[in-house]
Amino acid sequence: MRKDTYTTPKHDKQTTAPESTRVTSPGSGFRAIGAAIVKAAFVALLAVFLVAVYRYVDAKDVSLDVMREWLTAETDLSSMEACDERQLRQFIGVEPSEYVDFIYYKGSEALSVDELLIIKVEDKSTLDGIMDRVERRVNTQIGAFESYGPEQVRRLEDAVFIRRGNFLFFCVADDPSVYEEVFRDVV
Amino acid sequence: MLFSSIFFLFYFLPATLAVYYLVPRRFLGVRNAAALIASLIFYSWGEPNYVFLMIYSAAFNYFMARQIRSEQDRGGTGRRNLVFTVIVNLFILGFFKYFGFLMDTVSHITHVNIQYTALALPIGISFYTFQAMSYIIDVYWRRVEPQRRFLRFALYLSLFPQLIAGPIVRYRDVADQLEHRDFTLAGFGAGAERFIFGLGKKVLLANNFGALYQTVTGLGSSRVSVLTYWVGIIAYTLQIYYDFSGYSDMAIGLGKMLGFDFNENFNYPYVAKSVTEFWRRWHMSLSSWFREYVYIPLGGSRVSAPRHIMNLLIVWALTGLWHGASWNFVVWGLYYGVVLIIEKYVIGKGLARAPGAVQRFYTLFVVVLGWVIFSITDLGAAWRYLGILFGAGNFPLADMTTAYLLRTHVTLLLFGIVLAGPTPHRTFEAFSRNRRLPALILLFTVFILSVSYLVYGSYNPFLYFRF
Repeated sequence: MRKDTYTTPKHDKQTTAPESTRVTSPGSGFRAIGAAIVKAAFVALLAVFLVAVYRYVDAKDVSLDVMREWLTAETDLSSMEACDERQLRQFIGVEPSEYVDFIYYKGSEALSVDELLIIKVEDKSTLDGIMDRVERRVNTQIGAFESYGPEQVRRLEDAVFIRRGNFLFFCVADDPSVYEEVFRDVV
Repeated sequence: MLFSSIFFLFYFLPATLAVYYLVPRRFLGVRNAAALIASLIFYSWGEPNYVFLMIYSAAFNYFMARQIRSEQDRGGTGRRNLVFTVIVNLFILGFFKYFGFLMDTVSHITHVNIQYTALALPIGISFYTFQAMSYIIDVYWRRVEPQRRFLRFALYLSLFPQLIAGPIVRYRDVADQLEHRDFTLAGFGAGAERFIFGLGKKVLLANNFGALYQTVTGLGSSRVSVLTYWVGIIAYTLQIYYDFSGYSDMAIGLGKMLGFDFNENFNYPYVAKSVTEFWRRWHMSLSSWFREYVYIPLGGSRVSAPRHIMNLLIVWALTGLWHGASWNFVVWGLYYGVVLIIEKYVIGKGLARAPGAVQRFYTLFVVVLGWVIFSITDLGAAWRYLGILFGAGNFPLADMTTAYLLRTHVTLLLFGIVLAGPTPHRTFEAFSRNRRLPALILLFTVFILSVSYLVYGSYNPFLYFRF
């Protein structure tokens, strides 16, 4: 730390002016009340915003069976195939002990990078580690396709990751917003 | 939105500059409005909800600054309003940045599993909150007059070049420029040059050093060796410098293109001859913020030695915490606090008499070890990495992986090390004064190479975005 050349500004040592020297006006009382109301309004607005943000990112405790039903009804999953525990471990590196339930679909064609993963966990902090592995998966896929698959790389770069409550949503698709919408509606 | 993205370079920036400069210069208010709208679009691109938080912050601090001055003009101190404003600012920052960290820490200490929802960190919140607080405190200290026009203040807080990763611009440094600024072709050209060099630093150097570091940290234990780990952390040392100073160059360059002059944020930190000097050259806007608004009000160095040591530790713990809600950042901050105390009270005089090469080696050694703690959020993993650097764990000194990494990256490493010093830039400055065409060709080459990397490369956000 550089040796001080600064001096604390004189105004830092302000003292309240004696009552007799204070500038007052007939409107100062109303002005003070007005300022207090505006300050209270700022605090209230902040509280509303923070509650809204918090509620927005929190999630309902729904079963993934409900999610499966909605996904089947609202989206077209025919170009992907459902994967099991072993494939989830193989491709993403997530162990069964880490989640309560999951939905994992993967593109059925050899050069497809499409993936849809929804994981529900018991403890939200588990999602940090899972998120890291999902991101690593995307980076690995980008590395594998970047020299010859521009469309695949575009899809991977537009991958959607959402954490809400105890859920993680990850999707690589031509239009991931279709699946994202269902996820947001359900949770 | 990233500066180093095709969308920003070929759509957002040209459109913003076109609208900005289509407005005649005598209508500065309209230009300011155009810059403000562009900044809000820029910010809301990735996280539309949090743009309201920034607008709220602008409105709140604008109003409170005027309250403080109004109270002072009536004979009061304004201290209560100041404290209220600082508390609200810190509360917002704390809620988004430190809430999860606090909950995790309490859970860990009490062994109670506290359920909470982790919130996404609003990008740039640490930077614009610190800017807002510098404004409020300067108004309280009567260093500046409160801004009368909300649009100007909102522009100060949200100006897109420095919005999301600094430099932390003090209001008093740009207050005049919000009302009067010069627009010259030379200034625009200098800004564009600065921006392109920053882009090159990020895309051509930082991203490649980042890839090398990722390779090293991703190695299986059978391929780990002492020298490989040194190569890895040296790569990170260069990555974080080129990443962050590249961003600062781009921010300063964009500022110049819009007619603003921001203060420098880096001054070749890796040539420093002491850690004290390093911190005068690295992230200068943050160091000066803490010095001005925390260290000096605490008493600075004009107090007893124990109090001074305490002041340094407080400032450096806060500096660490500012970088992220994680214990490794606190430890990293305290590490520097301790090193600076040792330099001040123990080895400072001896170090000053040592040969320049020894001073530089010592400084780099301390800094490189610091980056291990900084880069690895899991403290246990950071200690393991540090241990391997010094031979712990029975790993070989070097192996085939070391040879491969050095052979494939030697040019990059040499470029990175040489360009981190002032000589290449000074040489270019002198060269370009007399030979504009070759200088332009060099700039154009850097730009084309960077764009080529962006087209074919993968997504690489700036490291400092997460702070």
